[in-house]
Amino acid sequence: MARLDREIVVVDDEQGILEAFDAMLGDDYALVTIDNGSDAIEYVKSHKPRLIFLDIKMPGINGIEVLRKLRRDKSDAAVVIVTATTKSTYQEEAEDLGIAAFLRKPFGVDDVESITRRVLH
Amino acid sequence: MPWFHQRVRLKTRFMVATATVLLVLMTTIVLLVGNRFANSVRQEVRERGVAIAHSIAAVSTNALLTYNYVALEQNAEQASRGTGIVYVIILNKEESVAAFSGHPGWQGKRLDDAVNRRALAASESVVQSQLWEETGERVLDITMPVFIPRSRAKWGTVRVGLSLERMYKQIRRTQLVLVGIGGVALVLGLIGAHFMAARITRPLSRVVQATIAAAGGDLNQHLEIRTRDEVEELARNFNSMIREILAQRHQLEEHLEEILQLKRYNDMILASMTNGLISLDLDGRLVSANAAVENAFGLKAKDWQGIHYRDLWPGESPLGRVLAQCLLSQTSCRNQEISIATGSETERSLIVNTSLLRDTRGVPLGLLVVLNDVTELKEMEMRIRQADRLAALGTLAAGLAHEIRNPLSAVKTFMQLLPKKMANPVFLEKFHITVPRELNRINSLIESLLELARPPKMEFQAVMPTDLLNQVADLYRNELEETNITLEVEEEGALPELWADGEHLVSAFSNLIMNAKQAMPGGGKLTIKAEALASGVRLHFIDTGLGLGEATKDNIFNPFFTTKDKGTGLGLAITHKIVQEHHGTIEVSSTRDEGTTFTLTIPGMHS
Repeated sequence: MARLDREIVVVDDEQGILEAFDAMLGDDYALVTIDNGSDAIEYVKSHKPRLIFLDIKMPGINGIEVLRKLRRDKSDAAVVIVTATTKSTYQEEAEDLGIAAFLRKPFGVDDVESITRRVLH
Repeated sequence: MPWFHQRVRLKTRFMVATATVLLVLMTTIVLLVGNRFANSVRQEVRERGVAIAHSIAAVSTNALLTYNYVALEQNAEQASRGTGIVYVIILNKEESVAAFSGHPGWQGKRLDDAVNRRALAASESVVQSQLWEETGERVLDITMPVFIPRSRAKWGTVRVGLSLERMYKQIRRTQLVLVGIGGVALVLGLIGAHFMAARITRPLSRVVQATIAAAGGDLNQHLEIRTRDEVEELARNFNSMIREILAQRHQLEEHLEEILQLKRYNDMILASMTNGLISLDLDGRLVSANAAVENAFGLKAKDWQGIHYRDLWPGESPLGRVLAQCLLSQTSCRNQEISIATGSETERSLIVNTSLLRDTRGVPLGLLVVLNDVTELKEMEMRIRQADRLAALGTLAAGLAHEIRNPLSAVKTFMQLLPKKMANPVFLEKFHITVPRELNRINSLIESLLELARPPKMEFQAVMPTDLLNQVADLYRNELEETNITLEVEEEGALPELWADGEHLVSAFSNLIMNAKQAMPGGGKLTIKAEALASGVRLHFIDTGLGLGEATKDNIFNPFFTTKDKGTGLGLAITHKIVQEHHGTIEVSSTRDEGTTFTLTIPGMHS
């Protein structure tokens, strides 16, 4: 399947967060929202999106594991970690695996828009 | 002490014995030899006298027959000149003096003494002894009758007096010589005996000296005696005895040293013990106290030795009270915690343990008191508890932050987008759904937190546990089945009525069920087992889920502690609180990959 340049995947178990991303980016981009890690891995494998917003704390596989799996699958997607946790080790782990940005909740609309622009344009 | 009890040296005894034997021997010899000699001299004198008398009789026979007194006189005078001849008397047939040497005028005189009578009566030679008054010497009188030749007719008597003085002198001289020889022999014998005794007793006295020295404590004795007799044997035995004693003494000294070392070691242990150690006799007097006790109570050895404990710690002091109680009951007291004020320092906490000291037969001897200063330990415990609380608070804060930031992010996004997208009806519609919902989430989170902190408003009433279990099972059975979890409720025995807030208990059970559900993402089985207890009910919530780690088990009832990526982490904390409000208990046990069991006990109505 051809890669959609404007496709953005948002992975988060929080409905509110998915709705917020939809409100921010839904009008301008092809936005796919996924509420768990394993579905996200499957989706990325088949659709190869360029940008992924990835939550860490999720039931089942957490965001760091998802990222690790993606990198092992040779995905070159730009990943932006979006998390509410205060645990600092996550950032290091994520950076080691290669991320475009590390966003802490509550993020600002400007942060999300500028990262999106930087990655996709 | 009488003389016969006095100590007599062996040498002296030997000398006395030898001297006695020699003396008896010598005396016997002197007496025997002297006697034999005297007899033989006497015999010789007698024989000489008889011979003289015989020869006078022979020469005088004719003169007697013829009454030739002149010839007789001459014969007597001549014969009396011989050595040792005191007198010569010739008596005629008519028994009157025919001749008397030295006395020519006594012719015809009749002698009427006893000796003469016996002489006249004799028909053969007679020997008599008499004291010759004229000269005052002892005289042997030999009588010889004169017979007519070849006839038995007596015709006169010849008497010869032989002086015995020479003989006695000779006998005495001989006796003196004999006594002299005996004396010399005695002296020589004694000298010999002295050397002999010395030879025998010298090694013996060496043995004696050695034993005296050994008895006096100087065991450094060795006897080198080569006499080839009993003394050598004695010395050899003495040597081996001394060796044995020395070896035993050495062994004793070693044992003593070992004992001393052990004592020093024990003393050192007692002195370096950080625990206080006191021993009391049954009257309550202090027998021992180690350095830790002295330091803790600011005592010196003289302050406590033999002192009654009440004089140090009166009955109203904490330690005095414990000691009185333990001594009175004569039992061991365990882990009695007391506080003592020590000098300027703040109070110290001591744990007192006592045990009754008994001898080998089990008779009580006294009380052993061990004081364990737990002040630092308690402070440390307090710090740990504080740290735990801070950590729990940290977890709570972190959990709270996480739970609030998610809805907050959504609300913030919509608020930031609002000015730009106010005209967009689709956005506005989403705004109206999402923002209030997320704000409500924040609010309910705060509600839960408040509920946890708020004193509960429980409405207790009599409830049947069976009803509560049925209620909660009905509530969740379908939801669980959707995720492939089968729910089973088992009841053992007749469950007693509970005095409880049913609604709160149901919510406590709900939290446990939700927890079990999340522990079994791939499905499984949840068993709720209820047992009747004498004092209430025990409930087991048994899942076949992933199980918990140790750290998780320890923290599972702390607010916001959660391993799940779903949920607030307040559920089990609230359950815990509800169970506590019912004066019940809740515990968790778990095995990784096998499952987790929560066990609750809730007291019955009358407990």
